[in-house]
Amino acid sequence: MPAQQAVGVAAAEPGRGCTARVQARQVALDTFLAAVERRALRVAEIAVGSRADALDIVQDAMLSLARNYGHHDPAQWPPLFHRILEHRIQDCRRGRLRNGRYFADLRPADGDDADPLDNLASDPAPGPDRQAQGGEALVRLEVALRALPDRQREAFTLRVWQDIDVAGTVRAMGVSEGSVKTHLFRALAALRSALGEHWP
Amino acid sequence: MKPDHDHDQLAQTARRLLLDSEHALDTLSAARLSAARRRAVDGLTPATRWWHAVGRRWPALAGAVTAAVLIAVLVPRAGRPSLDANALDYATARDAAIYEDLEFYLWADELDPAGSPHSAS
Repeated sequence: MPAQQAVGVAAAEPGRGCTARVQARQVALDTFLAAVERRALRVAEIAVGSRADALDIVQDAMLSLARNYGHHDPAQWPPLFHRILEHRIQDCRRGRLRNGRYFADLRPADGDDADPLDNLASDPAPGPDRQAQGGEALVRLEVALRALPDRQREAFTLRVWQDIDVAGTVRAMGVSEGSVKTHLFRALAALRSALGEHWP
Repeated sequence: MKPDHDHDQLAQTARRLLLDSEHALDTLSAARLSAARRRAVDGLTPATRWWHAVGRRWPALAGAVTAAVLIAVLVPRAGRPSLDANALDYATARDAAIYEDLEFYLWADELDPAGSPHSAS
C-alpha cells in the first residue's frame, strides 16, 4: 500500500484513536522507506565511497525524517528525505576533509613522485563484489560521480538516476529551474569528459 | 555527434547501470537497512500539540516572560533623569524661561548685593 493511501485510510475514519493514526503513519513511513532505502544507500555510497559510512548516513537520515517530519504529509517525504540525505552526505565529506582522511589516502609512498590526483582516480577500491556487480563501466561511473561537485552530483542523481521531473528537482534541491538545468548539463559534460568517448 | 544526443545516451546508460546496481545488495547490508528502517518507524511519535510543548517548556517560557517584564519596566526608568538625586538640574533643564532671563537676574544680583537672599543671610 503506498504511503499516501495508508495515511488516507486512517484519516477517513475519524472514530479511530490516536494510536491507530500513529500505526497508519508507521505503515506509511515503513512503505516509503522500504521503497527508497536501497537507492539512498547507493547514492550515499557513491558520494562518500564507503558502504559502512553510507549505511550510517542512511540510518541517520531515516531517523531524522521519522522524528522531525513523520507527521508531515507523506507527499512531502521524498524531497525532505533527499534534503536530509544530502546534508548528511555533505557533513560526512566535510568531516573527512577536516580529519585529513583524504590526505592520508593521497599521501604518496617514500620517493614516489606520482600525482596524488592519479591516486584519487584509482582510489575507490571497489572490491570483488562491486566488480562482479556492475563491471568496469559501473566502477568508472562511480569514480566520475564521486569527483563531481555536490550540486552537480545532486542534480544528476535526481534528474537522471531517480528520473524526477524538473519541478520536483527544484523542490528537492531548493534552487531555481535554470540552476538545475545548468548543474545537470555541467554534470553530464564532466562525466563525458571523465569517462571518455567510448564509455561504457 | 551533438552534445545533447551524446548526453542523452550517457544519461540512459548511466541510469541503467545505477538501477541495476541497486538490486545487487549483500544480505548483511540489507539486514542493516531493514533494522535502521524499523528503528526509524518505531521512533515515529504522534504530532505534538501546542499545549504539549507548553507543558514541556514552561521553565523557558516563564523565564522569557519574566525577562520581558523586567525589561519593559526597567528600561524606561533608566532613560529618565531621577527627580530625587538631581531635582534642580531636572527643573532647570525643563524650565527654559530661566535661561531667557538669566542675564537680568545676574545683573540685578550684582547691582543690589543687599537684596540677594544669599547676602541677606
